[in-house]
Parts: sequence; C-alpha cells; structure tokens
Amino acid sequence: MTAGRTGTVVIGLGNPYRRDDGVGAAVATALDDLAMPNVVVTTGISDPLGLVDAWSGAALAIVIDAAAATPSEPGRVRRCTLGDLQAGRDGLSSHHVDVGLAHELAQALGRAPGELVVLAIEVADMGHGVGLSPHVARAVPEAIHLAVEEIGTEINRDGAGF
Amino acid sequence: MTPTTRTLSVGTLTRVEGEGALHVTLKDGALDSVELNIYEPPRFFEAFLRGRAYTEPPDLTARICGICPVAYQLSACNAIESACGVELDPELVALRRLLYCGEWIHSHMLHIYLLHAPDFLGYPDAIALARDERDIVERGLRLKKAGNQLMEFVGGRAIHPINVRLGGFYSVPTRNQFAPLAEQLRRALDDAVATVEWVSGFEFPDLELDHEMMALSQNGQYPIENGVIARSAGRVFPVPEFLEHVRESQVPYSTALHATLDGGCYVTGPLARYCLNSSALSPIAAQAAAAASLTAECRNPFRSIIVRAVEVVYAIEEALRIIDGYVRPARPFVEVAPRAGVGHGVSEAPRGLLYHRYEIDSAGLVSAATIIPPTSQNQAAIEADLANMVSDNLALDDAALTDLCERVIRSYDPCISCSAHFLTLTVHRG
Repeated sequence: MTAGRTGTVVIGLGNPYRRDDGVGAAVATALDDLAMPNVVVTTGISDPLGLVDAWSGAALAIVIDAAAATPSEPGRVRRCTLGDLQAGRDGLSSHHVDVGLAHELAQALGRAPGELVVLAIEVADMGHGVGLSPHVARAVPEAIHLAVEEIGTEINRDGAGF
Repeated sequence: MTPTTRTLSVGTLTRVEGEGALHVTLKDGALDSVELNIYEPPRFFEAFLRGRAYTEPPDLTARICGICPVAYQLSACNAIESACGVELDPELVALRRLLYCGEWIHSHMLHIYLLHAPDFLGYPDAIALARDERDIVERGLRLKKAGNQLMEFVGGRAIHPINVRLGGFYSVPTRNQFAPLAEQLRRALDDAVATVEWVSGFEFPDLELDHEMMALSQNGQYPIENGVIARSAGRVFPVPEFLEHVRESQVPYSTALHATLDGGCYVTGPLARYCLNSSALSPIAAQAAAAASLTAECRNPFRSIIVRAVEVVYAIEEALRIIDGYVRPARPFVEVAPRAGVGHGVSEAPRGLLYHRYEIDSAGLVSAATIIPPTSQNQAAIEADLANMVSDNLALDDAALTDLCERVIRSYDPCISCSAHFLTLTVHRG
C-alpha cells in the first residue's frame, strides 16, 4: 500500500432506476451489508469529480460499474486496473471526465488511492425502471466475491490479516 | 501573384446542446469567412414537449444540460406559472434564488478552474495545472463542492435536482438545517475572494466588444431567477415581448439557430449581466470587483473570467443573506391549476439569459414550446469576435491563431469551452 493511505473504499457507480446500470450500486450495497472493517462503501456519485473525494486517502479503491461491450456477454465481470483504463486524451472538460481522468487529476492533487481496481459488469438492459436483468443479477455474487478477494489481498498486504 | 488561402479548421467542438466545429478561411492575407458550425442533429426538445402535461417541462427541460439544470427548471416554472396566473410566496422565491446561487457557484467554478484558467497560465488542461498549483486547484474544487452541496441541500441532488416543482418545492428545509451549509459558505467566501484576486492577475488579450448587451434586470437586485429584459442600447421590455425583439434564424452551416436582437448582434451572459447590473453587486463582491480593476462595464470577453469570479462572490454572499433571513415557507408549494394560455419565462443561467415559452391548452397539455438558450443567442457574437481577432492577428502562424480562436470561444460559454479543450485541428494551406 502507499504510505499514508489506509483502508478500502468501494464505489458503486450507476443509476438503479435504469435497470442494469444499477448493478454497481447493487454490488456495493451488498458489500456494505457485510460490514467489513476499514471498508467504506459509497454510492450515488453523479459528478465524476466526486470520485476524487470518494477515494482520497484510501489504500485501495474498488470502483464497480456497468459496462457496455461489443460483442456483448451480459453478466461477464471484468477486472481492470489503472493500466487497462484509457484516460481521455485531451484533458478535463465539464462533460468528459472518465475514471482514468479523475484518477489523473487525483494523482496531480496527491489524492489518488494507493491502488485502483475497476470491476466492470457487462449489461443487457439500460432501459427505464428498477431491477437487474437475469444475467446481470446472476453476476452480482461473482462481483461481490471478487471485491472481497481484493479487500482480503489488500488487508494481507497491509499485514492485518483478513 | 498566386492567391493564397489559409484554412483553420477545428473539427470537433462538443457541448451539452450539440457538437460543433470551427472553420476560419483567409484569402490573400485577409479574412474571408468564420463559421461556428454546430453540426449535431437537433434534439427536438421543443417538439417532444408538445402533448406533455403542463407540470412536466421543468423536469424534462432540465435534462437539456447537466451543468445548468436549475436554469431550465426555473425558466420553465416561471413561464408556466405565468400562463396559469400563479404568483409564488416570497419565501419560496427566496428559496429558488438560493438554489440558483448553488448552480452559479458550481458552474462558474468548473469553468474558471478546470476550463478557462489553463488558457492564461500556459497549461494544456487543469490536470497539468494541478501538478504545479495543487493548492489553487484544490481551492477551486472546494468552491465547486460548496455549490454542489447547496444544490443538493435545496434541490435534492446536484445534477438534475428533484425537489423543484411548479409552484415551489416538494419539501422545504427548516431554518436549523441550514447551519452546516452556512458555515461551509462562509469559508467558501474567502476562497471566492481569493479567486478574484488570482484571476485578475492574468494577462488578457485586447478585445473590446461593441455588441449590444442583453440581460435581466430584477428590481435592483443582481438578476438571477427572474426579471425583465434590459439592454445596453434600448429600453427595458417585459418578458412577453421577448420574441418581438429576439428573432431566431437558421444558417446553412449550423443546426443551432442564430439569434438577433432587433436585427443586430448581441451578447448575453456574465459580461452583459455585469455591464447592466454592476451597481447591484453586494458589498464584498463590489469590493472584489474594484480590487480587480473592474469598472462599471467590462467588454473584454477574455476578462469574463474575472466577472465570473465576482459573480461567485456575489452568489455566496447572496446565499448567506437568504439563509440569514430564511423563514420556512408556510407551504412548500403554491397550487398551480392548469389554465389555457401562453406563458413566457426567463432566468439568468450561468451562461446567460434563458427564455422559455409555452402554450397550454384547455386540457392542461403543452401545445407549443420555444426554448432559446444563451449559447445560441451568443453564436453570432462569437463569430464576430473571432473575425475581429483573426483580422487583428494575421501575422500569427496557424497554430497560434487557432489557439487564439479557441480562447475566444472558451471565454463565452462553459459548454463550448469544454469542447474546445478537445479540439482536433487540421490546417489546409492553399
């Protein structure tokens, strides 16, 4: 872990009122229910710059979000690290701040997490309404498991055990 | 001698309402044409509002912009409440103004720190600026957060607030609930004054607008959530006369309409607001403006960054004044019964005057809608300014001239400005 940064922040992105877009929040909420020590769970971030505040000071940030893919395999969970995220090439703008750019800004401000993991869950239905489609709902336990593993690894690395 | 042509093409300008490009053509060493080309397909908001219930435009039109949804909500509310013959309780009006202050703070701070300031300091973007000036960018983010939190507190959330409805709000806070917010705003006021000091030290290219200025005038207050139409070269006129003076027309190279004021080019936005209302600034904002060497008028678009910073000081002072005098409204909203008729509504979005007009039928459905955002009103003026800047700087090479053009665009509008941060440039020489 990076010196001075402690604990894990889990950030569930997405809108639960747009079907599968709510999968990030669903996974994050389930992780919150586990009440793991030194784990802070955040949902409801709508301003991308909110990421900078959310992960500031954390040793590990796990961002969980819905993903659209071509070709699509709804329910597939992908683990990405910073190297996999392509930051927008042309700097910040008000309407184009992705996770990579938010991380770049956080780094410049000394507020980047020690490690960033993104769990991206491929979606089938982003229409109006609540509730996940069957494939995506079945992916929630896998995403929870992956997040718990990440947290366990971080705790072991920190020497605290899990 | 062979004629020469220089073409400066900026391929992709994007903004909330659309995407666009910039094309400047020089022939034989002189300016030939400037076109701000908004090429994204129309979004048809005015069309799909037809047939919707009279209660829906505030929430539907808020989706036009994620940066200034309150402007759309309140211009829509003003128009429909006017059509239905409803006046709000003063406490509800004050709460609307307070919500709008949050939007000004958040929107202006985004523009000043993340979009505009890098232009003056030689940085490609705010990330590069943050690497060298961490404390300064943190100050901007603190201010933006203060604006966001004010919007969240009054509006329910910062982007596309959910607590606004015709006649007022779904729920209203108690006086005691304001305490933490007021404390945050008091701290933010110091940051805002420091921001004015900071931006006033930048170097500004020479450019004086001679366009007419148009902004709201609001009973001696600095205009925000309502008012009548004031202008620099004509009489004040009431909102229902808006379309008698402001005419929209299509240009062949842009899907966004251009607008004229009595046939002439004009400007709306912070410079116009300031020029027409600087005497209405609050004490600390006026003091900050004076310290920044702003006189009663400011017609240099590059210096709009100072005006925006002063407006943030004003918005914070005004928010604190409203909180200080806050009396919880006796009712969260005034009932607005449908009534067949026409309503006009305006407010001052961070980028300028935003006009809505609705026709409501006897069933309470919208039968016609017109929305004129500040960006389209300013397009002709932006093109005129670009033409002036290019003509005055022909000796610059293509890269420098293009950079200057982008700076002109950014100085006008946060949405266009944001797009100007990821422009693709191609230069054709003939």
